[in-house]
Amino acid sequence: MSDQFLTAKKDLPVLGVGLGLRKELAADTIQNADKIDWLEIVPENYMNLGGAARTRLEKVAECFPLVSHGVNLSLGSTDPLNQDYLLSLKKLVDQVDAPWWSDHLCFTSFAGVYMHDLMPLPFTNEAVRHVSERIKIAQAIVGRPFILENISFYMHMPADEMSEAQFLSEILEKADCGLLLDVNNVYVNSCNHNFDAGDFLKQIPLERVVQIHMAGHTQVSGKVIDTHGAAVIDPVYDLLAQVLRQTTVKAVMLERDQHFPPFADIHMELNRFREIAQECQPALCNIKRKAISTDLKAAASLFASTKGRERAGALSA
Amino acid sequence: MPAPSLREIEQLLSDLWLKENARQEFLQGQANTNALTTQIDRQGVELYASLLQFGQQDLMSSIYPLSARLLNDKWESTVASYFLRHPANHYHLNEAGHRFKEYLQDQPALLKTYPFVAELADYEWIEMEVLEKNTVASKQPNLVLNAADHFVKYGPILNPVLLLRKYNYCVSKIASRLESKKSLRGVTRATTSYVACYRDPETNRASFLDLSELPFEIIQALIDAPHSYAELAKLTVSRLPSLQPESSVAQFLDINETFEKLNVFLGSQRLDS
Repeated sequence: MSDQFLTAKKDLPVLGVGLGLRKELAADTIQNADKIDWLEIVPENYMNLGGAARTRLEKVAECFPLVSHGVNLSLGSTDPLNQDYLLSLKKLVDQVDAPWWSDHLCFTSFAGVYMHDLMPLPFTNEAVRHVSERIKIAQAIVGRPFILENISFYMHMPADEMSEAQFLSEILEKADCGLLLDVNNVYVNSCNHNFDAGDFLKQIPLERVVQIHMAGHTQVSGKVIDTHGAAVIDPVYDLLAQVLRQTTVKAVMLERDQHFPPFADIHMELNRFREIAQECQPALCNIKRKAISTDLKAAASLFASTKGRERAGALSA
Repeated sequence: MPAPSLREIEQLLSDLWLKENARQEFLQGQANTNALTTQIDRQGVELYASLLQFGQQDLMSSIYPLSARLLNDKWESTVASYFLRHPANHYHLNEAGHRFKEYLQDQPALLKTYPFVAELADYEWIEMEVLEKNTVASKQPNLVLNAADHFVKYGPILNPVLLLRKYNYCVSKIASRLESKKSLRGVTRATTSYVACYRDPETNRASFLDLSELPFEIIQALIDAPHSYAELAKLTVSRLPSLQPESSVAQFLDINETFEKLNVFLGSQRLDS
């Protein structure tokens, strides 16, 4: 098994504490750019699009490091990899010079039909081989380091042959890629599938974590749903601290996709990440950024498109 | 018995999540039972199906808010039926809505009650198309038309992010009434209307412009091919036979000025260059 990724990880830049760029938050994000070290973009919201989306991307690329977090590569699908998608994605990550890019351990399409949600995979050896092969192919096409995100899931698929932790670990090792650890997803899954989140973290190769997602969730009819529509809760902050004490990561960020609060609340959550990082991994708090131009702040109204929906990478409820 | 393949699992679950009939048969125990189906978590199937439906409803309501308001209690079932007929086939989320007009054109029951519904959907869709089109539109200097030479050698630059429509109903009036939650009484009679929808390069917003037939023809001529100001003035004269040619030309100049001001025209270009 190769561990070239672990060598490469050492050279990846430390980005610090970031935020997911959403059109609803775009103006506030720009106005508060001095409080945010970097941004994560959902590439499907920018690939081959003009207008406000393009303007938003060009403007934020001027002042933030950007990382791409896709939702429709459909790594687990048994359909062929979508070459058009990969080429558009490559163009975008090259344009913004993303130090790495990510997508989810799931399938989002089957027989050419896109479900536009993150559907779980069976934890089987066949799926391990299938996904790890596709990661290698996709990474070769895009030409930049790939990191894989663990998803929240609400049902076990039939024919499981291993646990989620084993499934994730085997794919990371076989594909030799990085991990985008969504700490909230670990928490959500631990609630819905009745396991200990701390134990889960001990079973996966934390040394492969490059980036961490933090988010809030919602209780719906006895299930915990990963909505990205509420504040981060204390047990999830505790898991963040646990991970940061155990391994070096390059970036932590907040995903907020609905029920947008005043920006001050988002700022408070980012500050809490910094407090935890300061204690466990101070390098995440010492990011030097170039000054934001006032022109950019004035142009914020050009960023906000007003129709249609953006993909945010989370299931809605 | 061999273990089910990944493809078999994805096929079965996709059907259960996306297809109401298959899901109901499975939940009621009427589906073919085999080793695979007996392992499936029923509650999980229902939860994912409802999450997918929620996403579809949310998407379509964000693209077609006025159609949703018009169809009211028929909206949810219309959207569900649309996705069964035209499942999303592109990684761009909003693209999932691009065949809604086509779907509505084939719904006699809806068309009987709302004969303009497909045109309304088109009116809402073109806004999305204009907002997202991957074309850069930027303003160029406008030529001051103060020499005969200018009319012949130069022509307007049409905003490249513009869609032109001729409707059988006065869709912009219907849309406006729906937007302000007013009655549609008096605006749903069949009558030809003309609309241009374009992206303003200064704001990135979509603008709708109601047109009469002549301005519509001027824009259509520019969509078909670049035209000089003289050719467009000639077109105007030919369409206004009851006016003196000088008055028609003055009318064309007014239209030209309005289009420049509204960013329908983004400047002037020399046609022989």
